[in-house]
This record gives sequence, C-alpha cells and structure tokens, in this order.
Amino acid sequence: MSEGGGGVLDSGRVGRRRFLRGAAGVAVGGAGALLWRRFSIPGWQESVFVAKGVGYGGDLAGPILAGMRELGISEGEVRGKRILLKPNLVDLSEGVVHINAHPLVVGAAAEAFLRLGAGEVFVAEGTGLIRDTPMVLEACGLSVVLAEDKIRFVDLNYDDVFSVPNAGGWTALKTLAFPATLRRADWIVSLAKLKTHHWAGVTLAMKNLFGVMPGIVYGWPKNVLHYAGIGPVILDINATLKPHFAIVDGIVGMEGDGPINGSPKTVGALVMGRNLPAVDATCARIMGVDPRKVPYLAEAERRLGPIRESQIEQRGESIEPLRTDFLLHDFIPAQRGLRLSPARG
Amino acid sequence: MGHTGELEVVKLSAEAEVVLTRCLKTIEGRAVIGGGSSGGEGGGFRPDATAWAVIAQRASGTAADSLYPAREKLAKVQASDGSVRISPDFAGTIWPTPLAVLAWQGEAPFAEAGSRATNYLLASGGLHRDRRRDDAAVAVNPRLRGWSWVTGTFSWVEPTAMAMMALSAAGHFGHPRVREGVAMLLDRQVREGGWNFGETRVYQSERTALPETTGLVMVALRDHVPRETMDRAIVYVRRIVGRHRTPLALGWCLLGLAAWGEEPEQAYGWIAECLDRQSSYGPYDTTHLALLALACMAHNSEVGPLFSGVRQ
Repeated sequence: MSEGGGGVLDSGRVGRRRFLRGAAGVAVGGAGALLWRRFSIPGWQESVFVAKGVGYGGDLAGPILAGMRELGISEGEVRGKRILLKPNLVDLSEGVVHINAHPLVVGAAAEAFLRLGAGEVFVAEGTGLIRDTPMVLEACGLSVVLAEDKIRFVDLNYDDVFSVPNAGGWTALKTLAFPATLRRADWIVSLAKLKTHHWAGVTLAMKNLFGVMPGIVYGWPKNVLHYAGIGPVILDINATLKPHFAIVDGIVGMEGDGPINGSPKTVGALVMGRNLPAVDATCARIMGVDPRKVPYLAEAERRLGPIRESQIEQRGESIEPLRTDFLLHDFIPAQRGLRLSPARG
Repeated sequence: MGHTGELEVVKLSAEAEVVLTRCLKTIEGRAVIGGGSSGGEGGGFRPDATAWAVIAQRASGTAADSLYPAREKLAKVQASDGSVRISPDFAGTIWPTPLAVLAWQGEAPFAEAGSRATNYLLASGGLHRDRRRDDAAVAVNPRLRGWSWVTGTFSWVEPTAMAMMALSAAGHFGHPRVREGVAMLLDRQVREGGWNFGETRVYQSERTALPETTGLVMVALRDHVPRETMDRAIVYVRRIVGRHRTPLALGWCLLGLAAWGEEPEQAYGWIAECLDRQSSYGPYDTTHLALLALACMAHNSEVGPLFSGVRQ
C-alpha cells in the first residue's frame, strides 16, 4: 500500500505520468493557472462515435469495432496492450437490463479489443454498495460471459492499494487511493450505462469510474467520497486516472430515480470516444439533458474535455434523431432544471 | 444474555470437514513473513484478513501458540488511539478494529490491546446530525449513531454490526453504545425484513435487502432482540439462501440462520459449490474464505460462541 509508479500511470498517450506529476504539483501548490490556460484554449476538439439501432440480440462487437476504427484507434495502438474494462455494476438485477452495463456489451467490447490485437482484456470492478461482487456478476449474467469468453475478473475493492497525489484539486482530498491492478493495465476503459442519477444528475462514463475506488479504503458505500462531494470527486478521479476510452451502453438506459430504482428507457445506442467529458456530453444530449447544467460536466469543460456541441465532432449517427428525453424528477434536486431546450414531449 | 467467551466443543460431519479443510488450507497459505495474513495470493499483510484468519483458525482448534504471531502483528499495527486501520497510510480506515478485538478475544497477552481497541470503539462512531432535515432524501433516523467504515462519515450497517459483535464478546453487551447500535440496526431494517448496507428509502424508492448484510445483522442481534423481532429476516434468508453460491452472501446467510437455530441440510454442498467457483472468479479473499470456514462450523454450534470457540 505504498505510493509508486508503473503500469497505467506510466503509460498513456501524452506522457501521462509526467502530466500526473505536474498536475499533482499544481493541485497541492494551488497554482492552477498554467493548466487552466492550457486546457481552456478555444478550439479543443474531440470526436465521439454514436451507433444506433443496436440491440442486445444482435451483433455488438461489430458496431464497437467500427466506432473504434472511426475514432482512429488502430491495431498498432492496441496490439499487445492490457485492456481493463470497468463495467458499471451497481445492483442485483436478475432479469432486468437497465441497471448494470449489459454483460453482452462487456463481452463485445472485449472481443473488439482482442480483434484489434490486444494482449489481454480483463474486467475489473469495485462495487459500491454490495461487497459480494461475484454475487453481482452472477445476478446480472456477467459471470456467464466471463466464463464463456475466458475473461479474467478482478475485484477492485480488495486489491492491494497505492496512493497518488490528487491531480484534480476539486476536493480537499490530497491523495487518491487506487487499486494496484490499475497500474498493470495499459488502457482503462469506462464501460458505462446511460442513466439518470439521484445525486449526480446523470451517471455516464466519468461517474462510472467511482467504481475503481477501493472499498477497503473508502468503505461500502464509498462514503468518504460522498462527503468530499460527488461531483468534485468525479472530476478528481478522472483528472488523476486519465482513462483512455469510454463505451456507454445506451441500448436500454435508465430514467427517473437512477442509478438503481429508475425505469428502463430504450434508446438503441452505443456511444464511445477517447475523451470522457465529450462522450458524456453527447450521452446527456441524447437523454435530453443539457450537459452545461450538470455541474460536474460543466466544470469538466474547464480542464478535462469539451462538452459544447461545437467542440465535439459527432461521428456515426447524429444526436438529434436519437434524442429521447429521459424522465427527470422535480423532487430530486440533482435532476431539477437539467432539461435540454426545447424539451420533447 | 451475552457471550460468555467459554470454549464450545463443535463436532463436524465428514462432509463438513472436507469443505472446512479446503478453506483452512488456503487460509494457512496466506500467512506472510513477519506475522499475519494477506488478502490474496502473494499479497502483503492486511489486518482485516489477519483477524478473520485468526478467528476461523481459532474456531477450528488451532492452538494459541500458532496464532500468536498473527495476533502480535495486529497489536504492532494498532494505532496509539487504540484503533486498527487497514493501513497506516489511510488514517481514517478504522473498520478492522472490531475484527482485531475478536481476534484477540480471550488471549491474555493481548488483553491490553483488546481493551484499548474496545475503548476506541466505545468512544467512536459515525458522524450524525441531531435531527433529520425536512428535505432529507434518506429515510433513516440520523440521531441513532452506529459505527462507520471510515472516520468522519455516516454510520452503516456492516461496521455497526461488527462493532456490536466485538463489544458484546468483550464484555460490553449492555453498554449504551451497543444498545444504541441495536436501535440503529432496527431502524435500518427494510420493508421485506432484511438489511442492506444501510438505507431503507431514498426519495420515493424503497431499498431492498441484501443477503450478506441480512445474515450479518442476524448474527449481531442474536441475544439482543427477541426472536419475533427477527422473524421476517429469518423468512427472507430462508427464501433466498439456496440461490446463492458466492462467499459473502452464502457465508453470512448460513451464519445468520445458525444464530437463530436453523441449519439448512444442503449447507456443506452449497459451500463446496461456492469454493468451486474460484475457478471462474479467481481465489477468494482470505476474509471470504474465513467466513465460509466459520459457516462450516456454525451448523453444529451456536454462532456467537463460535467466535471464541474451539473444535475437537
């Protein structure tokens, strides 16, 4: 449980470790202006791919692979790499498809990376409310996919832990503890679900990374992070971890009182991209949510990635025909006033 | 009422012995140089894994001399305030403290360490408001203070149940903090009769019970509440226990039923199937294996004394 480097925090596309050190220094030293200027340069562009007309009964690896290629992910970039898929698993959900990232999407994502030449694809999660992670895998059907496809699973809640300086600085947490498994991955892929959330407004690719934080340090639920502030912690985790890719299962999402007690909402979409704020902003628009009104997404735009339509190149399908307004409850403060104008009936 | 700490003789069937041996062999293999146990293969010392290993091994009849290094290691990492943390790097992670109390329980060389830990537990607890806000989203009584996973956060079901078990075993059965813990747990019982991590309703949605937390609370509340208070929880666990072959759900459900005198006939077969699933999920954490080992022994003994009992 000591601080250290290696693996994911060394690797990455633009000197991630150097960035991490630099950003951490800024966060601790309180001199964030340099980073702020750097990342708020107008014209920061990201691409997001949207596949529509997708169902759990059809080919899922094909659309994911097509999206990855459309986003410029080549065999050369993935070949031999260790890919960590982090699915959104939050509750026991036998027979329902709208709570957890669907196991067939997880299996398809693994297949897509392997077809691009990945050395290993494995699945890792640290469930937030239930300590018996294998029980969640069995309830949602992911255990079957893992067994059939011979995909390794790591329970991040009980992993060895290392800590690094908090590169975000949005909360008062000086360091963040991560499972050692993350250091052994070359790519971290957030495999999220398209859902509303009663504390955060929406839960998508960025919020999904809450689930990498180890329960043995933060508890079940990860209450330390709640006290620090859910939105700011989402930003800190993403700024420090710098995930590589996101795939959001929007085939059947959840509206209303998410992330557990909401209702299913069929969209038939898969959304993916390298930049998580851009992916989440696209997802939000598909849900009829204005990303600029979701506090953590609005804040993410300052340093982590663009959320404005003008700065996100939509590849694949456009948002407008897919937009399906998700139910937002007035009695849930985090969901009030999030609707994208004009509202749809 | 309350646990006496006297040694119980537990006789196991041949089937149970086979399953128990599988658990214990792996647990023994998790011992690390310098004392204590790791959570997984090749890992470093972890206090919670160490304490669970001691509790299971003691219940299986392992001699105190053999367990001395593990107990001593726990004492060495005990903080000056009496708490036992998951790591000195994470100061607030005090949730292994009740596990250490149970691991030291009844061992004279560690009486002082145990006393300091119980004093810490009696003086600590979750962070709470005096009254529920009118617009509170979560329907629990915030005045009832249990214990938290990490300092400076709210009280949750699992650390509260573990603290109550430890304090009861250490002779504080009737302490006001333990009585408050009982009240807090009863306040967190969900409509279907069981418990989850500690929420009954959020906004307009009822929360549902979870097997592992329900079983754990059934153990913690044994002797503290009359049987009729547990009836709905027992019915819930009876209904769902046969579905589960994963370690925490199955282990705590079996222990919970045993705490109230119930023993499913198929229990050992279920535990064996649960162990077999390591071929899919990888080796279980030491804490989970210890729980399954205790579940093996629970069927021929009362659960409470099991934590300070011995097998022949």
